[in-house]
Amino acid sequence: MKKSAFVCYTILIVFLSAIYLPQIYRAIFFDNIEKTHLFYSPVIKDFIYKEKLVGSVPESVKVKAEDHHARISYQNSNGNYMSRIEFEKLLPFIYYKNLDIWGLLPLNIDGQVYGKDYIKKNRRVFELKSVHINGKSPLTPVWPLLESNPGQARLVFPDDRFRMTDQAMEFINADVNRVDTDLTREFTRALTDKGFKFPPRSVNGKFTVLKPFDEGVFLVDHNFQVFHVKRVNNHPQVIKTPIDPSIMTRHIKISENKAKQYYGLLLDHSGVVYLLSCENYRLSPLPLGGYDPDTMDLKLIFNPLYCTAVYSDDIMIHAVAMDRRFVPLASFSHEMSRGDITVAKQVYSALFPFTLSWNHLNSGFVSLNQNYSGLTGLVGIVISFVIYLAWMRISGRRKKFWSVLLVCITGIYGLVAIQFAGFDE
Amino acid sequence: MIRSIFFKEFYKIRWFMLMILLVNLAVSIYVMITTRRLFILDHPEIVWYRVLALEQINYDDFKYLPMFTGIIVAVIQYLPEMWQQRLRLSLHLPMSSWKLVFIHVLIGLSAFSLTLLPDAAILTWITGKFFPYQALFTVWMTALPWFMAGGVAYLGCTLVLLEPNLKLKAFNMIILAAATGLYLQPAVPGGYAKIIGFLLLPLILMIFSVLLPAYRFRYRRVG
Repeated sequence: MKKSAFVCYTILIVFLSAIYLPQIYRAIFFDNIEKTHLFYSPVIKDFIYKEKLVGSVPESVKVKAEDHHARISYQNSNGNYMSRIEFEKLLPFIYYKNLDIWGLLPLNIDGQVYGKDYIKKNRRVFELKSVHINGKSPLTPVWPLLESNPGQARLVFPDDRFRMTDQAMEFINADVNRVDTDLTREFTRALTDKGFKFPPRSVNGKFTVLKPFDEGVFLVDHNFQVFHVKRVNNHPQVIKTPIDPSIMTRHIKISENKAKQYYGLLLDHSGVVYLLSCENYRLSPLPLGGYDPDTMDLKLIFNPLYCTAVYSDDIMIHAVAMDRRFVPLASFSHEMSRGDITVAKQVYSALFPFTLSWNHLNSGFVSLNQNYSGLTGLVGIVISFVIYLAWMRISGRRKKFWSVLLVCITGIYGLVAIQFAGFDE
Repeated sequence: MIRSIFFKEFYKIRWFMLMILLVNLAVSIYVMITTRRLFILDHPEIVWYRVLALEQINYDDFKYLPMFTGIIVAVIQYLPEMWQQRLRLSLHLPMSSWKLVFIHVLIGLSAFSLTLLPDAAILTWITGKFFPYQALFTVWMTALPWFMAGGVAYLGCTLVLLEPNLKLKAFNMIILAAATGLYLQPAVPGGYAKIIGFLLLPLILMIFSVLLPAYRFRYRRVG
């Protein structure tokens, strides 16, 4: 039993060390660098970006740092630096308020004139974060179905919520926390009359009153048929959309906006993203080469001339500039400065042969993630082993097979365990 | 013999346990009152929105309660044993040391669990009364790691108290903090749902680990 206790204590020390020692190291030596901001300039027809530099700051950046910290750089796709003001002037559809203050509006691009109101009306952003995709974050599966015809300017929450069971769209009255049988029957019948198959795959909507109007929810039924459900004058309005069930809709990110051109973004099971048009639910696939919804966040930036898709994982950022019919015009990929290999990162890899992290990477769920340092980690193991040998010699203790094995497998964590777990007893 | 140990422990901790139970009960009642008050001050659908969609936790007063409960249970159970070296007498009883330590740990963990029963019952009742049943899963996936943190805190504190060597005692304090921290990470409600089973691993490792300082204490290995 003593052996079991010893083994458990050793595993516990190695386990906790592999979580906390790298975490402490990262907190001390790693700079928390946010993702690069990448755009397509309609002025120079090229990609430009803003990012925080890692390591020494080049002189050419310092020269351009007029009013900001020199570590924040503004560059074009060739790596040439510019000042913040030059950068903003190249993105007139984003920084149009500054351009207005500087007296640079209306703007002339390729013979076409753009005023403040026109720009304001024709710009919007759709965003699909990996963490928000269905099933990637914990959720209490109870949603509000807002009244789409509230009869007033402001949207309000109804006094009920709905949940999807195996047989029904069930409404629960919040005042009494009981099922509203009439409303449940009415909505369930409206759905089944249109051919809805329970249980549904997903419920998609923007569940807030902070939006200009309400477009209800999009339900994906068991056969991947998409239904658009609205509550109009407290009665169901169900539309069986023509969206092809064979694409197996995974997620729909609804974003009601005044332009009323698109409902939002639709993601299918093969990772293709579409814009979901308000015109008969037409889907426009986006040409996003290398996009992985499980690891990447996507942003779609519309301006009066172009639509730019920007998507990134932890290290790489990609962008595709398209015309308003989503024909790709240019694309660009860039390794963000947060991915630069610094001395601190090299020491980290060498010091820790593997690390455990108790975090929620691209997911709302806490998970235990393992990372292996590969061959670099062997350096740390060799150093740990040398330290172990020296330590044994200085303290006059005998080397033991299990301690040698532990150091050879776990490196620095093994050293900690040997120091405290009582390997000599 | 087991019966005698049980009664010895029972008489030692009974009044303290009653006090801890009352404190837990008081916190549970406080959570019940504040939750009810949410529904008095606002429309139920708004409270549902805030709690179910915006991820506000109406029972977050429970978060550190099990941890403190676990630490206090361990202190009242083992501190007198260590101060007066009473455990040494127990360890010389005609019974293997590991069995004796396990019985003590089992009694401590049972006492700890009993004090949390009202918390668990009242939390379940509040959620069932005020929210749709789907919320129960989220609430339990949020609160269960907190309750497990209490168990880990109890075992970690036991490691600290039983350890006779000062250096290892300090190290075990770090183990206590590090292991407990795994269960109390910032997470959205229900964020631990996918690894709730895995969370048992540190608990199991710690149950066995407490034998080591007991052996060291038994055989006077302090240096």
